[in-house]
This record gives sequence, structure tokens and C-alpha cells, in this order.
Amino acid sequence: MGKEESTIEGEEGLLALFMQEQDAPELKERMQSKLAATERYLRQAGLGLDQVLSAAGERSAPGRAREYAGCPEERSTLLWRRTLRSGQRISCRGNVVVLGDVNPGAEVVARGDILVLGTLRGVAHAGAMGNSRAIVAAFRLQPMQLRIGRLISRPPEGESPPGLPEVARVRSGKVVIEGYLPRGERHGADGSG
Amino acid sequence: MGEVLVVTSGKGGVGKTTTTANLGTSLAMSGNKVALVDADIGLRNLDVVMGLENRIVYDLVDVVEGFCRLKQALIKDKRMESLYLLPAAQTKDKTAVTPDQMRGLCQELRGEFDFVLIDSPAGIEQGFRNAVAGADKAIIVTTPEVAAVRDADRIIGLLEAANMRSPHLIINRMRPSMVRRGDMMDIEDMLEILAVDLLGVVPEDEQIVISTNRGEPAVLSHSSKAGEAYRDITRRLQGEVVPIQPLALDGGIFQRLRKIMGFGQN
Repeated sequence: MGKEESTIEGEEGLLALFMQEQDAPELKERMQSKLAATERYLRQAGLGLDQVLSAAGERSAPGRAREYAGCPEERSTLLWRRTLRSGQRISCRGNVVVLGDVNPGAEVVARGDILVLGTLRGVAHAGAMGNSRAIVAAFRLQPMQLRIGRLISRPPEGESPPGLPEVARVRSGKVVIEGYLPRGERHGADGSG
Repeated sequence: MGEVLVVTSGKGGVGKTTTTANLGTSLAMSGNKVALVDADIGLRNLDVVMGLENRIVYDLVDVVEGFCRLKQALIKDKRMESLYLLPAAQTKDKTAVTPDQMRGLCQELRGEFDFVLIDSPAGIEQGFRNAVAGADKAIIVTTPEVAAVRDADRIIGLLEAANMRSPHLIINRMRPSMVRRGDMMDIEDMLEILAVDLLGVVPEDEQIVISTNRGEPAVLSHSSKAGEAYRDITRRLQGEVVPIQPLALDGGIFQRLRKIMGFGQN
């Protein structure tokens, strides 16, 4: 199986890669063979196929995706390689990285951090199990609503975002949005997350 | 083998039926053999817009149920020799047909026609699933409204999940003057969110109301701006490179003149 298709990799926890040209049944089939090949490793990681698939957008109807699936533990990351469109939702026990936009009406939920390499216009909930140290970062942060831990916030009305990468985090009980400073990111360094 | 295109939008009232009627007529005008399929079972409209309402004997449901042959149900257009309509049933509902039956129907039509255009119902339920089942490509119709664009985005997501990639986008009922005043979403805004290929922009045109009521597609009239836009879209569908009319993009000379002359607030 080539890199163009789907791979499961990652040393700590699990990283699932969904390539763009695949539909769910095909993905399921490929995942099945992949999973069979790495069964012992996956058992340790506590991941089943249904969990992987519940992260595949359309498959997870809002009601059914309540258990955070996709990646088995909090330190792992789900990489989503396409734009998340209205009505689609991904959720993950670890972090989520979206290579694309998150459009209005779409939802990303992670117990860890959320990183959008594109424009975040939908709803993002980082630290979904109450971790208020989680962050949401995006190339352009224009969310409908931001939730971090137990806090819910709306962007201030009438203010146009700067068009630069920004990070949202909780500071003294409030969600604040700051410009992203490549060298000033101390979040990981102080042992949180 | 012909191409099967589904015209869909998610939201109702954005101009799917008008678009289907105009593109179909225009494709037939340029020499193609075209079938229009009304997949909006229970709420059929395409026959009215085409002015063929009084010729219906059999419909789509009769065909898939085997009550009649496909040829018997196809209505030949009154103006165009190579244009046919397969009307929807009005007394049934969306559950009267399955996606598999639609696939079979499209397969049969594909053998006979150069283009098969399917007019999808609004919504994302079974009617939508039936409409897209047998299609090769989708044409998404939206208007410059936030709600319509949101629904279009949802539809594109559903099409992707059904493995139908790279749909074409038609922006309908554009009002350049409103865009210029910043009162309406502009093309850039919409393309940024939807990230699909733009097939054309159709300006708001009062003549459309008249032409749909009369059952005469606007492409037949040379004075209709919308008709002109639909003719351009038809050429693009056949692979020609036709620039998007600058008029649709930025107000046009009249708007500018009126502004200069001081009564530009419309």
C-alpha cells in the first residue's frame, strides 16, 4: 500500500492518515487489512476499526459520535487532510490537525489541541473533557464559536480578524485570542497539554 | 455515451429548475441530444417551466415501475427537436423510487442522449440521494446569500462522501450593484468557502420570472441577461473557454454612470 492511499502510523499513540481520494467503504476495506497486519500493536493502543471510521466525517451522525474516537489517547493526533464542510464533524481523544478549512456549520472536537492549517470558520472545541490548557490555532481564526474546556466564547462582533495565524487559549478564566508567535509558544514546554 | 449531470443546491428556491431548463434548452440549441429528468417527485415543476405540462401521459415512476417504456414517457420539447423531458410523478412521493432504480434509468438514458440533466429536489433526504445516484457530475446552484452558500457547502460535503468530486458551481441571481455597495456576498467570498470550480454567474433578471411563468426558457430570448449567462455556461460545459462576464463581476458601465450622475443608490 502506497503513501497515496491510507496509512496508520505514529510511535506514541496513533496517527491516522486519510487521503483525499477515498470514500468510506474503500477506506474501511484498506483499514481492515492494515489493522489486521498490526493487530497486536493496535490492541495495545485500544483502537478498533469503528473508532477510526467514526472519525470519517459523514459517517458520524451528530448523535452517534459522542464518544471521542479516532485516536486512542490524549497524546495522539488525528490528521484530517481535507476541508471540513457544513454538517461534517470530527472528534478525537487526542489532538486534531486539519489540513484545509473548517467551514461554517462544521465542528471539530478534541480532548487536546486543535490546529487548522487553513481558515477556521466553524465551531471548534479543544480540551473537550475539561482541559482548559488546550489551545485552538488556525492560519485564520474566524470561528462561529470557540470552546475550550468548559468555556464557550463567540468572536467579538464587527471586528475583522487580522488575516494572520492566531492562537486561542484560556487566560484567567477567559478565552483570549493572540497572534501566533513562532518562538513564543510555551504551551508544550511547560509540560501541559 | 452521454454525460449525466445533476443540478442540485440543498436550499430551495435558488433556481435549480430554471437552471436545468435553460441549460438543457441551450445544450439542445447547440446541437446536442438532451434529456431533462425531473427528480422532484411529488412537487414537479420542470414541466411547467418548460411549458410541457399538458403533454404528460407517463412519468418517471411509471418508467421505473415498468408501467411503460422509457420512450413512451419522454416528452419531446415543442421548440427543440433534440430536447426531451422525463417528468416527475405528481401523485407519489420521493420513496416511490430508489437510488438503484435511478442508476438504471440514467444508464438507459446515457445510451440515447449526449447530455442528461437531472433536476434535484431541495433537501438532503431520499429525493436528493435519488437525484445524485446515477450522475457523473454535479452542478451546484447557489445564490449570494449566506444560507444558500451554507447549504451548498453541506451538499458538496455529501457529494464528496458519495465519491462525487469536483462539482461545478453556478452563482444565480447575482446583483452586481448590491455587491458593490457591500450589501451582498461577492464571488470571491463564496469561492473561498466552497472551493469548487465556478461554472458561471447568472445575474438577477426580471425576465426570468416572465419566462418561467410562460414556460419559455430565457435562453430563447436574446434580450435576457440571464439567458445570455446560461448560454455562456453551456459553452463552458462543452469545454469552451468563455470568460465570466465582467458585467456580472462589477456592476457594469451603467451602474457606474448612474453613480456619477448622482442617482446611483439603486
